[in-house]
Amino acid sequence: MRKTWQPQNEDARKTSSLSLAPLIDVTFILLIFFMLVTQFSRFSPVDLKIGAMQQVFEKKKSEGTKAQKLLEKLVLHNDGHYVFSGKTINSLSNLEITLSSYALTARQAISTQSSQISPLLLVEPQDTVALQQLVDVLSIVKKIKGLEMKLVVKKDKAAQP
Amino acid sequence: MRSRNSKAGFAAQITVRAKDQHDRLIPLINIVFLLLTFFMLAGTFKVATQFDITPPVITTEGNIDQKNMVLQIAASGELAIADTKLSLESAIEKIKIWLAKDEDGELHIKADKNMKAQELLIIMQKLSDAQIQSVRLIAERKRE
Repeated sequence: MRKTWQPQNEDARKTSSLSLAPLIDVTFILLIFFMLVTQFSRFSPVDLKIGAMQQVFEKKKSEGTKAQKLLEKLVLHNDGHYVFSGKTINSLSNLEITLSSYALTARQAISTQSSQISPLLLVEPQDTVALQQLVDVLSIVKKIKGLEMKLVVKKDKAAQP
Repeated sequence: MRSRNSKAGFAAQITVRAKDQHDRLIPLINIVFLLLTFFMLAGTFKVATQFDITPPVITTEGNIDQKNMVLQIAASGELAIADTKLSLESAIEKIKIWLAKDEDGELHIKADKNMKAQELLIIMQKLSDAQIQSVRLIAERKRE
């Protein structure tokens, strides 16, 4: 004869409900796992174009005198000042203004010449300059339209084995 | 008769107390589920790295494809790929093999913000000499 399960009485049926404790345990374990393995930092890529100083100069030389005029060098110094086209700049905001006006002037020169040459900025950090300082400058250059940028290794460093 | 009534009353009390306890747990479970959903949706999984690297901070936007190979450079100048320390030569070999398999792949460099910029440029110069041209630096995005 087949037996079927039946509650012993009405009270017993009322008390037999699904226990929530295991559900809470598992949820807490999942929560702790996600809290530990999750990171909220967002990352951005920075394009890096590198060129040996000599090669860049030779390329510009081959493009002609006008192209050479559109080549400028920015040197980053450790104490937070910059040297652009022989002038000393003391802050990032001033650097942004200087580079923007340079890019504008260069673009106007290009448009009058109807040439395909673009202004090129060579960025050279000095020996002790930290990466963060370089990235600060790169983010400024990235904002300025029509300004091509290349990083250059110091001549003596590039020659190292 | 009285004892039967008192037994029934006791059972009813237990039922009510258990139901009360369950009811009191429901807000807790709700909040835990909300927290769980938040962490699952808002965050991304940490990737295991060999060194403790603090990347430089940048304010410009951009997205990084997690599939790309990441070359880690510690502040001391040590190199690693995934969880293996490597010399520059063996790192270049490994990157070349990976790039040969994945033509669209590009190399990402995760370097410490306190390392010397010239050291990074020297590494990049050597990568460039080895025909590894597509290189990007990973920076932590900070809102302006």
